[in-house]
Amino acid sequence: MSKSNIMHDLKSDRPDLSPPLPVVMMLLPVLFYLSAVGSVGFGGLCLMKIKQAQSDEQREVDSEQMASRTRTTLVAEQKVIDETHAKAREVETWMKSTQPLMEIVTAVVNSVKTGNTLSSLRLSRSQDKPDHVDMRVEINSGGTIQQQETVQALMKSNYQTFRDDIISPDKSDQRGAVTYTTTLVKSATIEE
Amino acid sequence: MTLKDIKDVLTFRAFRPEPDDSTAPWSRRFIRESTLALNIGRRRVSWMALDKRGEFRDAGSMEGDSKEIITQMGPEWRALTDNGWCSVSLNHRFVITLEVNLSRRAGLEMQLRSNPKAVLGAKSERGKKYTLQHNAESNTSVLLSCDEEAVNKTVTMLKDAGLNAGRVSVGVYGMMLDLIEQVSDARRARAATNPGDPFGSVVMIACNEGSVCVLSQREEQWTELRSRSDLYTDDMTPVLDIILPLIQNAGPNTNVVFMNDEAGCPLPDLLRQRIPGALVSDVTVPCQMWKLLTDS
Repeated sequence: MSKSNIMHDLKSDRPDLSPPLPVVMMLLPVLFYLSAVGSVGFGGLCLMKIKQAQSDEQREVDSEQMASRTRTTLVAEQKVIDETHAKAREVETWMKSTQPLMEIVTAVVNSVKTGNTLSSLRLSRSQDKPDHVDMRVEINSGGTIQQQETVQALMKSNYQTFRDDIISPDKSDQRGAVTYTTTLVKSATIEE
Repeated sequence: MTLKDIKDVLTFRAFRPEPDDSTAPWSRRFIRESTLALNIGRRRVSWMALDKRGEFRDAGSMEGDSKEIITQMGPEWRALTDNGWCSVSLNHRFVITLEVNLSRRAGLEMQLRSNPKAVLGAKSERGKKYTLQHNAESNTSVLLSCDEEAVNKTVTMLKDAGLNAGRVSVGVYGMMLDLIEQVSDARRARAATNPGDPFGSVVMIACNEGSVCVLSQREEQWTELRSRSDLYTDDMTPVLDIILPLIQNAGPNTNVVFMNDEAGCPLPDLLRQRIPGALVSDVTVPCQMWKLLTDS
């Protein structure tokens, strides 16, 4: 059979017989399949990126939670430190505030003669008059003699007493129990 | 635009000729698709499947009424194909004649299909399908006429059996055209190598399962043509009776070129016995008829 000849055909031609589309138009389905493959590939890539992003996000969330927990721990530690610091400041303040009273306590304790005893020593100051120290001494034995000794010791320490009072049934008891109250003021002249 | 059009574009089917487009070769119409070739005679039908790789397989034949055979074998034939397409050779109800001085204007072949009367004039008959082959070097033409009813009935019977006729042809006419082309090529080659040498006479014989077509050529002229259908079965004597007068008329040293539907026909040997010294060439190749039907 010659390749140039095609076998004859006797059947009637179909009226709606259409010629084949031009070869160049094959680009259309080729592009379609390429775009389909590209879309699937791009979708897969996006899916992979989404998974990666979700994994990164989860890692970041975990890190954030860990940081938050660390922060909470640190805040708690900070609070403990602050509280301790506050207490230390209070102690420091107390220490500083009681520093002037130590001279009074020393003077009072040193003034107690052998055989005499004190049941309590109370010192207090008010915000209105911080220079005035209210003192209350309960003397178990020693009476007014010990009270006089204490007043002299305080005066040696440059403290002036005023509004003195002795609270006891017998205010002239020289040996028994008396309670002595007074207000102490640091002597300005001596300080100068 | 229908869904089928879109599907055809996406499967690249739209870029190939349609299955029943007679202007396109069979191999271009059915790429990687199993099809069937049928040779339908009055009392015998033979078939051969062409698989996706373009190889012939599952050959068969059956004696009997063609309508009954088609009805009976339809499902089996359909199973041999992918989409039921087949190329048919009608082996009866046709006449091949030698005509002189037919018009050769452009587009005549197409007009012959649609309006044969405009081409053939008084020679045209109602209810006939025509196709022809001109002799390029003389005023003669080989004309095939076939009953339109036979063509249409065959197409309808196949359709009823689930098959689609992608081509309906007359096998022996196609074989004769192939012989004409081979002889023409040989003549051109001879003229090129031995300019001025006479080519002599050639008798071309085409045989296809009982049908015979014989054409006698002297130099470039076609001189005689004989054609018969349902002429022989196993006994080749009726064929010889037709051929021998033409060979004798052609004169001594006539080249006889023979083509059969399948290789192995005894006719060339018979001719050599009957005409000692005859130059008989058998150009038949295996599956000759099936190759012609599928443009292989």
